[in-house]
Amino acid sequence: REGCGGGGMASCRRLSGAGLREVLGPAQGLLFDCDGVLWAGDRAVPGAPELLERLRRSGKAALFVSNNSRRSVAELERRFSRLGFRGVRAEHVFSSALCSALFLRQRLLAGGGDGGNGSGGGRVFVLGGEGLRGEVRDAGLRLAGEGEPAAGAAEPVRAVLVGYDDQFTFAKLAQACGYLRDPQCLLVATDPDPWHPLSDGQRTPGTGSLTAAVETASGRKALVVGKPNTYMFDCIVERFGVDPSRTLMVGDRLETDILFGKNCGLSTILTLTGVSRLEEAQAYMASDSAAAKDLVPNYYVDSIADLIPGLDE
Amino acid sequence: AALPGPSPADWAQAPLDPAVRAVLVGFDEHFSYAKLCQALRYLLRGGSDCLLVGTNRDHRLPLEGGTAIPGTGCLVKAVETAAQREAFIIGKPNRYMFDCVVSEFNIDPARTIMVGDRLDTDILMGNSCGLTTLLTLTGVTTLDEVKGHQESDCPARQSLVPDYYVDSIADLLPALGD
Repeated sequence: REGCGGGGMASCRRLSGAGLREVLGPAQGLLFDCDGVLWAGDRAVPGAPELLERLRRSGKAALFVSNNSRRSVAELERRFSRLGFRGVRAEHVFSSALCSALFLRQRLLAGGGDGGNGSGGGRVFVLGGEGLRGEVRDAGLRLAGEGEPAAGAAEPVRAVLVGYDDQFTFAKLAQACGYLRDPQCLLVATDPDPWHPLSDGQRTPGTGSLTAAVETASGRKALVVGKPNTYMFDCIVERFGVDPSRTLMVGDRLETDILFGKNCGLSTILTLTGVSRLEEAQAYMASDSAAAKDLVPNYYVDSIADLIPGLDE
Repeated sequence: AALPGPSPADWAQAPLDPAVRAVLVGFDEHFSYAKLCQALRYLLRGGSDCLLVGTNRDHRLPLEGGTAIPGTGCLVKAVETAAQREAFIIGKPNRYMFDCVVSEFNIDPARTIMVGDRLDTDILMGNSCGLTTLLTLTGVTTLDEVKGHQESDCPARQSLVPDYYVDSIADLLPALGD
């Protein structure tokens, strides 16, 4: 029987029948990735809203952890509702936009840095859309404007935050590099995703590709907030006190969701309605590399709707 | 061609030119997410039938006064990361340009000197191609940097060390006959 989280390689077993009840029964809660798990584009995965409803009736918690840095958690709450998911509130949703803002608040405002200059931690230059910028403002931080000169009387920029930015330009890249010449200026990225699927099978570039440009120009490595790094789990634990040994991570991307689960000591379930194919998980399992083994999920399902029979009526 | 609509979902619907067989990334001060999107679309459509080529990997272009702007290498890295594949790089330190010179001018590497100011492009290419390498100190490199590589145990760093250096290429004049 698979253990929860660490120790030994996962074996990517299909979760069904009795196994389903054995795994879901003891679980206190599930963490779900969103894109490719709950919905694809603007359509809910069939059965996903019912699964969440059944989890609620079984007394199991459902929390959401997403690398997508486009939307504020308030927008995500509305999206859940619009796509037919009931009872999901903003406080249940941990997006990389929110968690990046929390991270920056911790680093820039909470008594660290050059405290005493009275200027409240400095400004943040955000490469990203309005959803991300709003989360940073809501965390009490001030934003640097685009096109400002690097030097001058304005309050110093203490962090560059790279997120999903479909308005990314060479000029913004150059502006970011100007700020990063100060070694005290942090370089933070919301997530490492190289691309995201579009509904017709094409792909759109992700934050990871923009971060690579900024890292190359500045000679710095970014601190990445999102999965597979564990900071978002720290945020979840701080707010909800989750026990990793009784929590399952459900995701569609091996390199982010499943590795995140492994890193946080969670058992992992891969769902096949999103990015990663079963063959990829099996290839990682067959690989000699130790790093590859960490990308193998404990279990997989074709869709999260397949989890419903594992819950009490 | 102009892209329809304001968002990536719209850009992904713009018609692709059926004749495109390569994506070439060079220095582009008008680089944008939209262009990155289109590059990715061509590379995915073509697979191994669509080349991905970068002119060079320079991280920064130094400007007067000590500042710098992002180099082509940043844009190449963005495309490589999105497409999850490696570009073929034309510029130094890769040897393609040297091969071009050789094919036109019948160069004997043993009797040719490469003169440059950057260790990780000029000198590395020269050393890799069997040329004698000469560093000039009128550009980005200091002698301290060279010493650091020279004293390191790392073979990769050793290949950044030039055979010779001069303060300026003007210092070569006395060696040339009247």
